[in-house]
Amino acid sequence: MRDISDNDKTGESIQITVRFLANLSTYAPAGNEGFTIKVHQQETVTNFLERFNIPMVLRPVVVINGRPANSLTQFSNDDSVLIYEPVTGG
Amino acid sequence: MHGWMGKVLRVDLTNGVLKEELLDPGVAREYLGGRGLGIYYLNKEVDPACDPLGKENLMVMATGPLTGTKAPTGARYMITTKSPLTGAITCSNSGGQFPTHLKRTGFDALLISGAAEKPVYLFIDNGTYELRSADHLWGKTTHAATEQLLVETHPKAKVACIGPAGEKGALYATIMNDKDRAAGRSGVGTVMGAKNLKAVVVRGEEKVTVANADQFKKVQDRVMGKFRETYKDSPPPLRVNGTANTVAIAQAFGVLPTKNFQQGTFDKWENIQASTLKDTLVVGNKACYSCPIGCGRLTKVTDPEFAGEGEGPEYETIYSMGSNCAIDNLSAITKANYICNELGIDTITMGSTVACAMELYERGYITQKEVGFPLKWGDGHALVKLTKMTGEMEGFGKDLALGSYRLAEKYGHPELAMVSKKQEFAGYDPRAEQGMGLAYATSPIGASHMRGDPAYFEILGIPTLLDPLEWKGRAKWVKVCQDLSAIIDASGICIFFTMRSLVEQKMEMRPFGIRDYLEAVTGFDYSIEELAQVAERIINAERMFLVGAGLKRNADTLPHRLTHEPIPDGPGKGDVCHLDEMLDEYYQVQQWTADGVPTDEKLKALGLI
Repeated sequence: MRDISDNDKTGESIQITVRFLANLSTYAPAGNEGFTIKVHQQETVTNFLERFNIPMVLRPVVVINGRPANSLTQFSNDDSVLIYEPVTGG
Repeated sequence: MHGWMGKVLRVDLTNGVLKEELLDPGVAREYLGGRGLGIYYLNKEVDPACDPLGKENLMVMATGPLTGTKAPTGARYMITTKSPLTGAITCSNSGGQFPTHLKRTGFDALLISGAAEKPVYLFIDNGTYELRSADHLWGKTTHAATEQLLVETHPKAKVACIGPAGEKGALYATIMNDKDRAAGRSGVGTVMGAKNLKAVVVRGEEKVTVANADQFKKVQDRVMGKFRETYKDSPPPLRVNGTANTVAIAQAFGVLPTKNFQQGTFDKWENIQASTLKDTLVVGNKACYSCPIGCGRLTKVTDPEFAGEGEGPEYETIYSMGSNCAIDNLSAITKANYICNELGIDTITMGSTVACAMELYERGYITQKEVGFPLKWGDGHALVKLTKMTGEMEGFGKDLALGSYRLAEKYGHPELAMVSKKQEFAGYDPRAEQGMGLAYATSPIGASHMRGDPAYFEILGIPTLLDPLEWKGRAKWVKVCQDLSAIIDASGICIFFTMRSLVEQKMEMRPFGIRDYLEAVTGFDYSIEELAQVAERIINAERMFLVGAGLKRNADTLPHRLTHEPIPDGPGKGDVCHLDEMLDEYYQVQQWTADGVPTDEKLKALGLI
């Protein structure tokens, strides 16, 4: 996975691994369904999603370490994050 | 009538008599079509204690009022009968092109009874119909039979047929339509084979009329306008990856069944995930009639050991033949999928039965002597070989053709079969997805995710995402998704479009979009409350059949592994499925007794007694 460093000004950054699934990979950094990235410790899920300009009409689901996250959830170091549009099928 | 064609065709195979019958508009209103009509006729005409492979069993092939209209995904039909695998009813769903053409022949349903003395096929060509000899087709794969039938009937006809597996009595044989679309579960193909019916061939050009064209256009413009707006910048996820999207999601939630449900995560999951499938095997996508999504995968395997081409695999096949067997070779999985399609076998039961056999072998309960060769976890060659042997009922394939429960029972360890009502689970471990466990146990067709799929709200995010590890209060939402499933299955539309676009995105029974289409098409002023009652009528009618077959709380079970052995990995590590607690709440919500029997009060309210 690519490591995409954030512009860390505060020194309070942590590293997470992110995977965008299916059509949402369109909004991931070019060519990377999965990547590592530094985020601020205080960054919420909403803040994070805003970086990637994902249209809210797609209602992205964010799952952190296999647990559903909400808009105010914050990350911890080494979190594994999956982001997908609510998807039918199975 | 509008939406419905107003007629059914009775096919008496014993006497070779075909007879048209009017469809009662009152019955149509109360049961819709598809799954609803199926259970209506089964309850009316079949003794629930009958032999599923005997002449007394009835097979109903029924479309819904929205099938064959331009409603998005109005392409589905249901096959309802008593299952030889489970002893319960089964209603198996399929799409493609065949259902629309069946409806356009002028019939809402085919009621197939008895058994022919020799193999036959039914050909319905617009207004005419006849039984023809199928001696020359018996033994042919589904693909070969389909190609031959198109030559001898009409090149634009559509075919639903069984393969050698159904002819030879494998207990989970499928009915394949348009070559690769499967009415897959519970042995509907086995019943068709027992009736000596090789195929149903249809050519239909009659239009499905709509009661209010202006109203239909308004609903269509609204629904499809919203769909196009949502996906104007990127295509829908199902079109991008098909159902294989679910591999990554299931892995993340720790519900991806691995090694016969011993684990909920698979260390080689990335080799079988959607992007790997897309990058290595997918050559295109495919859509059913009137579908704007196009979730079907066209694939080609060039690896000479597993070479072939066709449709699939879906997520359920990737789990059952992949992680559940610890196989991470997509070429092998896809090849086994192709063989299932051609021989006419359910991929879910096939893969999970091989997984069960692998565990029996690991534990020394079966050996090379029985199997014919080593059978170790992760062996894709063994999977492909055993799939072929099962479809052709040869060697150890005869044992596998019984399904995992009877296989494991034969070798002394039925507890190693991951089943409910003797049918194998879908690709979700209920120890880390509690509502799914309740859905498996209470599904009228045995373990299935398609008669009410809690995965939607427990891991997939539709209409929202609840905590999959929570079991308290879960029964209410399992009932809601079962009710929605009943309406979808009876209307003739596809759950993949409907759950996202025709159901209000709240945790309630609010299928406003379905209601709007039904009203415009049929002219009946359905309310949400009336549709909720239709759903309950179908579900309670099915439950009546099950109770008549001796299946009550005693059959609403899960294997000991899932209720007593904590899952060893994933976010749900350490937990089991809390089925008993959920069952008590579920029966209360359904207004059934503590033994899982609908009360007389409930049945009277639904007009069932």
